[in-house]
Amino acid sequence: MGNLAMFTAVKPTLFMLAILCTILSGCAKSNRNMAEVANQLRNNLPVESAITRLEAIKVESQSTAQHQLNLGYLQLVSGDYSKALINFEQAKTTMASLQAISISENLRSATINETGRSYSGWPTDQVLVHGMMAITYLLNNDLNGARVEILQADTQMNKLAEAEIKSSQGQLAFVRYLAGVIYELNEEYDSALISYRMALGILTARNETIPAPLQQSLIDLTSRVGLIAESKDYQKQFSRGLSKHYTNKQFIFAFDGVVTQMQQAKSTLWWDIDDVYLSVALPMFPRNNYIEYPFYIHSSEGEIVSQTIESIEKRAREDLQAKMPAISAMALARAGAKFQTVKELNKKDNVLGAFANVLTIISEVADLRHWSMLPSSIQIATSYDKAATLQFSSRYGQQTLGGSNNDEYQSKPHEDATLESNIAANTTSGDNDEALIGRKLITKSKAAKKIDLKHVNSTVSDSTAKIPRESITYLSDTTKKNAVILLSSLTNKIHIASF
Amino acid sequence: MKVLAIILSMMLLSACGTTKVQRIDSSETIDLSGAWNDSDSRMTAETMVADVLSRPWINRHVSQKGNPPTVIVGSIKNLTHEHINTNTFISDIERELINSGMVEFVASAKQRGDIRDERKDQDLNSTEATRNAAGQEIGADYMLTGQINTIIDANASTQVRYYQVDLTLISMADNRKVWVGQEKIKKLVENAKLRY
Repeated sequence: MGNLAMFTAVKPTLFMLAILCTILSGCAKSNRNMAEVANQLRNNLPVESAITRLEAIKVESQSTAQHQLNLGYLQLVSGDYSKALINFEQAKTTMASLQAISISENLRSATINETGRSYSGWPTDQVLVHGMMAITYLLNNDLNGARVEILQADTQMNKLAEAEIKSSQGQLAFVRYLAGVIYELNEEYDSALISYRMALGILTARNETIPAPLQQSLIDLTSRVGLIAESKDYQKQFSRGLSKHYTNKQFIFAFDGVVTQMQQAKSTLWWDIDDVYLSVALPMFPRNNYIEYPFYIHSSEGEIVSQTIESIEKRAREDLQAKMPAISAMALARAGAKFQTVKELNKKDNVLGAFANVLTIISEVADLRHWSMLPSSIQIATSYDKAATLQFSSRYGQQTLGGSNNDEYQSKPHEDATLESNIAANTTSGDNDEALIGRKLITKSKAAKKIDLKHVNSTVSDSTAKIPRESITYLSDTTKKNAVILLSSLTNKIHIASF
Repeated sequence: MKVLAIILSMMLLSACGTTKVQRIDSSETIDLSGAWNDSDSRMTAETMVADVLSRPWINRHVSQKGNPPTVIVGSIKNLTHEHINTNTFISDIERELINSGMVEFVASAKQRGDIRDERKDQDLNSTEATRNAAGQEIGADYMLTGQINTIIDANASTQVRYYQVDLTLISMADNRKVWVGQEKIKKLVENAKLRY
């Protein structure tokens, strides 16, 4: 603080020049554009259009990682796995290279604003990038690649746990659960059990609900590796029994919504004694108004409802809250430095001082960058459907996955006019949702063609406008294989890979 | 004022960097990130092949069968924290084994498929004198399989990366493990705590 005051006192005009340059460079502009795309995504902007808009944004060098994370995620949910992997990998490398403390960026943060820092990701981003990459590798039928990412996520979570002793920052139950799934698919049951236990530990520490798929995996795997007593304990704790089969398991992951965008809270006050305006801008999240929408899966064994394993809304807020003391301290130091500069210039020339004061107010901008396209919640479900058909329904879009084994899989708009009117009515009458969904599924399932899971690695293309309604997909598994399925509220596409 | 001048000159100098390419010997060891690299792959292959060729199984085979053993390299699983292309490691092992002259080597399953397709094509299109008949292949006596594992211990800026490569040579006739080799590499990676 003393050094800063000295620096600004020595050459206040140069300092003001630097501030002017920063304002002209428009550092926060790309984040504003990305946040705008994220908000449009919430309002039914198609993912493909969002990708095009994101790609068109001119990004400053210090925000490349944020841009790559956003692009990678949208490419994943749109089914462009190879491009998603390239962007995620680049973001990961960039974030890793930025872990060292930057002298120039700190200096700039203490004097001008925080937007000059290179985006190195919040703890959640640093771990979740591995989780998203693991899912992408899985859907790309690369189990080994997914396994590598999960090991890297483990290292990252351990590093964060060591650095943040009193905090659970970056400890993601979703990533631990995903690790369990990957180990299970790789027939490494001991490692899978360890990961599931870790997911349980994280959720228990947070006092959050343990999703049924995790409960079931713990019960089944402890029994499978011979820990019968532990399995019985879990059965008692979760009030459920062993599942009938271990194979032919469909692991379903669902991304719902778009995370709330960070906002700026700016206060400006008039300091009468020295005739100077003081300004402080801090980042904040608005109140969490997100309402979870579950995904419904209808199998031969009944209806399964997806359950939240990770609330990104909560994690993003926790990350910000944990960093707020440092951000606030830096904002105060910056206000002090700017105040000192304006005061010095005021002494020399009142007009120059007033101009400098305006610049210091304009340059006071909060850093609002975060992984802005992330889902609000990550949900999971497990189906053990052995016989025939899986049907999905969710909030957005509608589609039918149909055709013979040799066909190209395409989505089809509803052919049934009565069904369309049922759905339209359904969007306005919340209480009747289940009944209507049930009727519709029965109607459609009669016409559904059987599809072999091994041929369903390609995704279904979008054909309908994304409006709030249910989507349906039919699958049939005749290969007795495990499968990983990804659903997203942003798109009609359903991503499947079998193992 | 001096401080400011230094900062400004540093900023100017940092902007003056140009791309520079320098050709270096392919056997030279350069560690940049601490991750598994070409030198690890080459040195591990050399050490492990030297070990496998110095063990008694090879003399035993020659004395029993009267000819050098025929080996094939199977899968080498990557169980590490890194996306390692195990094909380069397999190539390094194959090269070392073939160049030793002590073992015969047969093509991999994928290569055999391509060769068989070519042989079928020869059957249809090549002259009698140049045609290669089917059913003349040499079957492998042993298969080399393995895995690469890692253990990583890391804090904010320091990492200990431990690699363990396990290879096993298995007799195709009776599934006997005739050789088990292990190579360990341990690296201490210290990342900078400060950057410009």
